[in-house]
Amino acid sequence: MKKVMFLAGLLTMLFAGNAFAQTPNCDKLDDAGRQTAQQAMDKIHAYGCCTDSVSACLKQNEACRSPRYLADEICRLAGNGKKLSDIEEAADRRAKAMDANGKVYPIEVMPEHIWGNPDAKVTLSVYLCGRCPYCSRHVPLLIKTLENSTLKDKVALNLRYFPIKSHTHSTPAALAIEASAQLGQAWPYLLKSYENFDAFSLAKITVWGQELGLDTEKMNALMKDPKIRESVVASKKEGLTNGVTTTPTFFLNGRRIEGTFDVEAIMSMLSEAVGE
Amino acid sequence: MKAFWQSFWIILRDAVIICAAMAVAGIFINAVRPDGLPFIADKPYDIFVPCPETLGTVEMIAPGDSRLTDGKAFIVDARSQAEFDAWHLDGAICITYDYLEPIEDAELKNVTLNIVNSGKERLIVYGDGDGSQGSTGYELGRELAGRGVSQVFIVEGGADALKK
Repeated sequence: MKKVMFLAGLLTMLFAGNAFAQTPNCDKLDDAGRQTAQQAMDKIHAYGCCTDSVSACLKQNEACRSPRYLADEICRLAGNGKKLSDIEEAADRRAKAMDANGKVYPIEVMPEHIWGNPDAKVTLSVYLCGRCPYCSRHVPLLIKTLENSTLKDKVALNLRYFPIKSHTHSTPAALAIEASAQLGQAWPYLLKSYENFDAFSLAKITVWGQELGLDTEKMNALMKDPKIRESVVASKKEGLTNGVTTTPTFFLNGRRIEGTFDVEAIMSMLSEAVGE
Repeated sequence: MKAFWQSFWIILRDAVIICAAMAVAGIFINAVRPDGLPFIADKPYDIFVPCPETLGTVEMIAPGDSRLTDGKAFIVDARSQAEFDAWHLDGAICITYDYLEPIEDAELKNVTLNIVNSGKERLIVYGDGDGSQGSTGYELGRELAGRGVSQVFIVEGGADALKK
C-alpha cells in the first residue's frame, strides 16, 4: 500500500512539474491565469537552446534555461490579465531581442555614458530625449527598479541621445546632458532633469548642474563646444540608422527590444541575459 | 403658463428616458464586448505613449530613374551648402539636413509653395552616404513627408551615385 501511495505521489509530482512551469510568476497565478498561461505555453515557441513549444521545452533539457524565463514572463502577462494574442506578441518581441542569432546593431558605448557596471557583460542601450515626457516617467522607474535588484552590478545602462525634433528645447537638453557626461555626471543630471521635467527652462539647465556640484562656467563652455554637439548628432544619426523612431528605444546587447516599454519585461530580459 | 410647464415636464421626462435608455444600451454593449471597460479601473490608465519623431513614408528610386529627368520632379539636395556649391544636380535646391533641429516653418512653406507654383508632381531628395536610413537625404525626405509633403522619393546611393 505504501509503495502504491509513494508511486502515486511521485507521478503526481512529476506531472505537476511538467504540466506547468514552476517559476515565481507562475506560482502566483490563479486558475484563470493558469489556463491562459498554459494555452500560451502550448502555442508559443521558445528560442535559443529549444525551439519547441514552451510547454514541450520545459519538459526537456533542464540545462536549457530560456524557456523557463519565457514561461515566467508568460505567467506574468497572464497574471496581469493579458489576452492570449497580446502574450503571443510580447513573446515574439522578446524572442527577437533575446535570440542569439538576431541582428546586432552597432551602438557606441562610452564610459561617461554608463550607469551601472561598465565592465558588465550585459549592456542595455537606451535612446532617449531629454524632453520626452514618456522617458521622464519610465527611465527613472527603470533605474530605481535596477537599483533595488540584484542586477544592479551586472548590467551597464548605456545612454544614447535621440532628441525628438518636435519637442521644444530637445537639443539644449541633450547638449546639457552630454556636457554633464563630460563632467562625469550624465545619469545624475538626466535623472534630475526628469525629476523636474515640468519645471524645465533654459535657465534651469545650469542651475541643475550647480545643484549636482558641476562648474557652471565649464558646463556653459561645453554646451557651446562643437564637439559636444557632434557627439549628440552622432548618437542621433546612429539611432536613425538603427531604425529608432521613438523614445525611449532599448537595445539589449545590440539587439532591439521592440514594442511598448515595460519595466518588468525589460527586467526579465536582463535577468535572462545575465543568467540569474 | 400651465401649458408651458406641461411641455417642460414632457420634454424633461423624454430626455430622462432617452438618457436612461442610452446608458442601459452603453452598459449592455460594454458588458458583451470582449474588452469591455471595468466600472472601476483596477490600476490607473497610462496616458503616455513613447515619443515619436515625426517621420513620413518615402520611396526609393534608382539614380538612373527617368522620374529624375522628366521635368516633373522638384529636386532637393540635403547636403551642406559647401557640398552643394561644389556639385549639385541641375535644377536642385539646397536644404541642408539638420539632425537636431526641424526645418523651419517658413522654409517648409517656401518649399511647398515652390512645388505648387512650379507644377511639379513629386519631390526627389538626395544627400550624402548611400542614401539609406540615417543619411541626410533619406532623413530629410522622411521629415518633409512627415510634415505633409506627399510623393517624396529618395535617390539610392545619394549624391555619389548621381555623380556617376
